[in-house]
Amino acid sequence: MKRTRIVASGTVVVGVLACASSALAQEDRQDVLVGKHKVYESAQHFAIELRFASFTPDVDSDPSLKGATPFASTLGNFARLMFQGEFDWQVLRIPHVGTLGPGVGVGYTKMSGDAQFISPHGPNGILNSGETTTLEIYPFYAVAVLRADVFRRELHVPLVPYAKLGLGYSVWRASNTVGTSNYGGHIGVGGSMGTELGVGLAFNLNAFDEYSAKNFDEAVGVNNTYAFAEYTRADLDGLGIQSDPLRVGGQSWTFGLAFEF
Amino acid sequence: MFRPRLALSVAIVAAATLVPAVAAAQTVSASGQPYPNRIIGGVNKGYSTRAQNLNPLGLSYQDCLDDMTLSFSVTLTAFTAAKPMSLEVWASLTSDCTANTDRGIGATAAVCWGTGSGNTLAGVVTTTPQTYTFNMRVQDIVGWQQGPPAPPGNTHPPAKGQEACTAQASFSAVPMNINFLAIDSSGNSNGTPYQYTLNTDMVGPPAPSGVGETVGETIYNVTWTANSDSDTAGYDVFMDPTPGQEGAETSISLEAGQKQVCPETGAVSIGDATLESGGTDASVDGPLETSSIESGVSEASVGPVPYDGGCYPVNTGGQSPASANGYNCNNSILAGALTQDGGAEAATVVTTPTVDDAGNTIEGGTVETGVGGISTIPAQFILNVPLGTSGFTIADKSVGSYTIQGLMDFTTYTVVVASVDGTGNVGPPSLEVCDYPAPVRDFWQTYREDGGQSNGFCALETIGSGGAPSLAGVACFLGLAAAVRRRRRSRR
Repeated sequence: MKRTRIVASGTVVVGVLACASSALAQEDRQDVLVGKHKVYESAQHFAIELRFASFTPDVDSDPSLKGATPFASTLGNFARLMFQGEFDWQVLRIPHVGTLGPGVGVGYTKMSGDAQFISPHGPNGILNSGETTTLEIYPFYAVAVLRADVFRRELHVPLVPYAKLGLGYSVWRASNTVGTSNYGGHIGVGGSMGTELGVGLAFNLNAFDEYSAKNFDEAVGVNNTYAFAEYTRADLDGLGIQSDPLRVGGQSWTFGLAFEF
Repeated sequence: MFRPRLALSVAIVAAATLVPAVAAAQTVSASGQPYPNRIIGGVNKGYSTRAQNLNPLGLSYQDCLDDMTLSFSVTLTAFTAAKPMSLEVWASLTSDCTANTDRGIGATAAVCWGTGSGNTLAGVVTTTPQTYTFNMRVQDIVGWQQGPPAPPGNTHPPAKGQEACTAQASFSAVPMNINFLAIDSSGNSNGTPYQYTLNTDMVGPPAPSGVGETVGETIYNVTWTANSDSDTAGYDVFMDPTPGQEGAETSISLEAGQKQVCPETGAVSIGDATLESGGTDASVDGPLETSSIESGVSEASVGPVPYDGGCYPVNTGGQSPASANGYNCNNSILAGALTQDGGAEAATVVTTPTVDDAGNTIEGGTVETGVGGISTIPAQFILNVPLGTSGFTIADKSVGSYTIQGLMDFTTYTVVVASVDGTGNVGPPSLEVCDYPAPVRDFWQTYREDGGQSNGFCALETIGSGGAPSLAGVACFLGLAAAVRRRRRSRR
């Protein structure tokens, strides 16, 4: 099962990279005529995204924990803000569909809580200590991105559904007030790999003010600006080749802004 | 008809007459030495006895306590025999002492006082500029600031002792003038005097309020409300026992009506003899009533306790806790402070409002209140300040927390915080807090204890026998190879 997923992910990524050679085969641009003036539209090859997600890692889903919930009990099982940046290369334009190309992303999130005393402390028997315990996650991923902008380009509907599929690798660090955690000689730093999936819908903000959008393009070369919502899922379970990684992936709703240029 | 030759002659004669008169004005000025030398115990310490960040040219409580003498060097010019003059040195809070009434002549009270009989030169004659040295004790300068003796006693007031160092009312620095005056035979100030202004700060800033603490495994966090007064420049954090000296003492001293609780090891009560679990009774000041041992606990459970074993005293008779965090710390070492209020109950500083040319208030005057003083806690209990140096634990008045690491678990530490001003005066300590670091379980430990097996970056799983190297394996191999290569390069 795991191998099937690896093969599928790998195929998509390799397929995208193979198509890269045809990057120069761009779709002929249809210039828009407004009155007698020819309106300038710059070439579009890339996209960047600023991404914000409400994120909770799946640490407690690790089968080796046998139902124990170390994450929830120490850091609280509530969502934290994760921010990410993504860069996409729109290598291929598929006529009457949209763009396809590779993308890479990096992000950061941090979750902290009070470390618990091993035994009740002081005259009131408190359990929360003054020491902070923290888990930091730096997710990296490489995905193939398909943006179906046919609706916007041909039907003038400002919505662009899109999908992403690829591989993720998150570097993580567990620490406390003193520094990186160390328990029984095991240092609390590592990396976890797995698959990355995203499905979302982007709303083209150019529709609000075409004139400003064209000026934006002329000034800095941004063709389209989007606000998007995306369902993101990172299954960082080791892909079957990494034994018992810390499951710092998870599923989340991601919101943000995207710029095509 | 204008006669140029005549006019020139008149001008020359007039100049020849006037210039000697101007040159004859007695002048007192600083010599090439811009600041007074500081002499302690007969040893000249130079211009400064403090670090540059601690107002080295001002006077601190410690300067006063050390019975420092200031040695001024001034130059007298044009003290001619034709007009006999004296040189007198007067101190004042606000005055330049040139007015006779300020010096108590023809007045019932004075605002200036003499700085010692040795600082008067009578019948000075200096045809050429000449440098003289004047020495005055800091205690004689600051000791009379609340009011010099009534005239004529202010001319040569008696020498002050260490009580002079507590005479200042304000915890903010107080500027004082040292005036070097040429006095003529009629007792009037004449010529051009020299004035040197000293910033004197004998009082440390008020103690920070809202002191609290939390502990973790070998760590201790202290928090407080940062001071808002203008005098505070930073904070000193005091801890007993000092880190590394935990075996030297047990800081808990129990009084009647208190009991000692040792939750990590069991505990014994003291004073009113209500036994809790285990512990030792080394400090019992009353008989141990075994009948009051609580159920499930026996004296046999008492075992060796590391140092004070995280024990703490609690009041049993409904007394209010004396410390800030509810523990009754009772640390006599960290409780010491000298209140210096110059006789006032509380020091109050009022700053003058700023007004524009039309007299409109631009910025209102502020009032600072609080009780300043001087900490008497030995400097060895200050954290993170090297012995033999003066400085701060925290040189930032806006900071309100400090974390102490490397402590011993189950040892009770008592902590106080004192504010420090820009002259290095350490103010009175805050209420004390005490607690003991104890082991905690962080996320990583919890995860590992719950069965989590994750182990770093390269925990690879072999897929079948003779399986091809995985992507992660390749990545790890390349990473390690790069690291080794980089290390080899750096060795070269």
